[in-house]
Amino acid sequence: MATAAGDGTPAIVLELTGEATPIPTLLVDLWRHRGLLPMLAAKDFHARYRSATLGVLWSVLLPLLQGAVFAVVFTKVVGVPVSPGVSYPIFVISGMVLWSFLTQSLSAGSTAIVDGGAIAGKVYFPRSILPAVPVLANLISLAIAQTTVLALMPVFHVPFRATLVLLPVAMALTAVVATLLAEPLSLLHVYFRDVRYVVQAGLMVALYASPVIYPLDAAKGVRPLLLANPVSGPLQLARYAIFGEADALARSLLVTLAWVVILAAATLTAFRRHERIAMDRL
Amino acid sequence: MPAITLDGVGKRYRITDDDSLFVRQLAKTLTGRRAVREHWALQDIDLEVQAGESVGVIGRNGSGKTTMLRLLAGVSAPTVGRLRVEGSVAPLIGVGVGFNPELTGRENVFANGQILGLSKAQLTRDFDEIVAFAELEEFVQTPVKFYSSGMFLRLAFAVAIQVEPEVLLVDEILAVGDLAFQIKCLERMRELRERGTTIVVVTHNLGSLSLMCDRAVVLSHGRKRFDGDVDGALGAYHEAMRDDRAGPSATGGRVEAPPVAEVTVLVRDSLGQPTGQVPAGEPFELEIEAHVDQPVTDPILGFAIGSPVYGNVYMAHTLPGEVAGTFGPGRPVMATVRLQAPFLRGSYHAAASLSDPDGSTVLGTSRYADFYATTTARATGVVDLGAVLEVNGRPVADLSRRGELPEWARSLSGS
Repeated sequence: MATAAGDGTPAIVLELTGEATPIPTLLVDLWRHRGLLPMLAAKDFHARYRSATLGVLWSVLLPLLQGAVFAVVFTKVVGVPVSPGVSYPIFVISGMVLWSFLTQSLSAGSTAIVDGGAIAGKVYFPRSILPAVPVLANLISLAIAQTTVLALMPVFHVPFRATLVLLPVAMALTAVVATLLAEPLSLLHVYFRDVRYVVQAGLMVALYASPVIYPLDAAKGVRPLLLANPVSGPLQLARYAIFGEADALARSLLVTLAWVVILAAATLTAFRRHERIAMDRL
Repeated sequence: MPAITLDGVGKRYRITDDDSLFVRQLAKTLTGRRAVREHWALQDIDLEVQAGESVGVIGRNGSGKTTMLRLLAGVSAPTVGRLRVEGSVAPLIGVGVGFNPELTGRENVFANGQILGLSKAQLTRDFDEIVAFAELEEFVQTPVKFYSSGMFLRLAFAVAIQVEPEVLLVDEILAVGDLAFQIKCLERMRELRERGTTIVVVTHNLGSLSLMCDRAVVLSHGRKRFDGDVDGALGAYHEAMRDDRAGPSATGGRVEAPPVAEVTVLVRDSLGQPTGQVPAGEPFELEIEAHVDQPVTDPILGFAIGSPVYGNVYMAHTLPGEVAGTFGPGRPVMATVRLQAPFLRGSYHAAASLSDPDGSTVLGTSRYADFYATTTARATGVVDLGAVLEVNGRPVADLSRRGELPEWARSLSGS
């Protein structure tokens, strides 16, 4: 299809029919526009925090504060059974940091195509870039928040372990899950503008269906539910990185991997069919 | 080799009333009150544009022009048929989309440029040129939210036009900036055209069509009504408008067609005689007549003088309320423009147009009235700037007066 021009550079050919875009075309397109994602993320980050100088600070402070509140409530008021040797404050704060990254990324990511409608409706670039923009931009605040968690560890007598090198992997995996959740949702949101509320409600409930505040075996019967969660994998990996141990680590990672495959397939299917025609609804 | 091929392209929109919420759709579906209307914005479009060609697409609002441009840009996809565009495509559509008010001019240039397909390296290289084109050298570090709307548009346009695509898609080129800036934009487009860029222009501005296009396509109700030379297209366009008014029910529930104006321009010399020749510096007149078929109150009258070689030379229009009164059948707008112009030798043309009171819809545009300017100047170009050449303190030539020096220059050289 894409024929080589005389000078050896591959010619750019746009070919459109009523049919779904072939997957290779989709991927080639994405590759050709690879510079766009970091640029848009940087722009997003700058624009968001320029008018509020302490903006980044807030985005870091809020999850830490929320984690601290949970730490107080669940140690002083209700007891949460964490394994001996695991500091609950660090457990819950590190969990909240990842969770609020997911929440912020998914809230912004799932409405990204509609929010970027002014430009997406005029110029073509792979629309799948848009939901990934807030995820990448939020990674900066996540990194700062995680560093703060590291600084807090000695305060709660949690030693630094070699497994901490896995912490960035847990962050990256959370970002992948957030992106792949945001992708099909952002397309769905073009057609149904109440997806925004469904996402908010879902995230509110999902906090308690994830091993964020309590460990996997906190209560009888909820363990399978917590394990089936797509973010259990990165959460457990983060726990392993910090405490050197994690319940059902391999299993939760496998579940997350399965989610990644399913969500990636859903994303491809959705974008093949709707990437362009969804723009008619903007 | 064709740069653009459309093969039986059709585009259908489904229009559902108030469909933005799933819960509402569900409720309507359950109660059987969900109505989906279908609308074919484009139908059976076959089109081939050769590489390097400039094609105009004209048609009334709702004729499918914008949909066509969206398809060519790859923003949307056809419902049926096949569309193929070869080469890099850049749209000059809705300039400034994606500009972030919080970011500085410089940051927006880089962001917008990359979205339009320029690389970071290209942008770094061309940055000064872009800013100079926009005439915003002093403001590049200022957040765009402090820009005036004119500055904003100039910058956006400067970025967009810096992209040197193989296929350029243009939406209403002349809508940006003041006159001087518009002329600059036209010049730049002419440059791109000479370099072999394929250009598709969608426009209401029929006057600019022949300046920029070799060929024009007329769309009417989503179908191709005409495809050929610009003069023929202008005729077909007006015919299509007339037909629409003859059978308004054909489209069903459309907004009423705006009035159509038949505009003519005549060039007269200072004695009031029709002429085809204007001596430089001599007064002459444009006599404009606009016959409207429906009453129009306080229309806007515009006229332009252009050169087939150099593009637009002069454009002006009245402000709302200046042409006061209601005009209609049997009561045409009769206007005289008195001019005195230091033209240089060459062909020029005059044209006039009548727009609705808010200037948004051109009711009618005249054909070109051609004339030839004569002069004694030996310079070439558009305007006689009255240049005098001095070498080593001695005036040697008056470039405006062939061979002879003017009185004051002669006295200078004598001393």
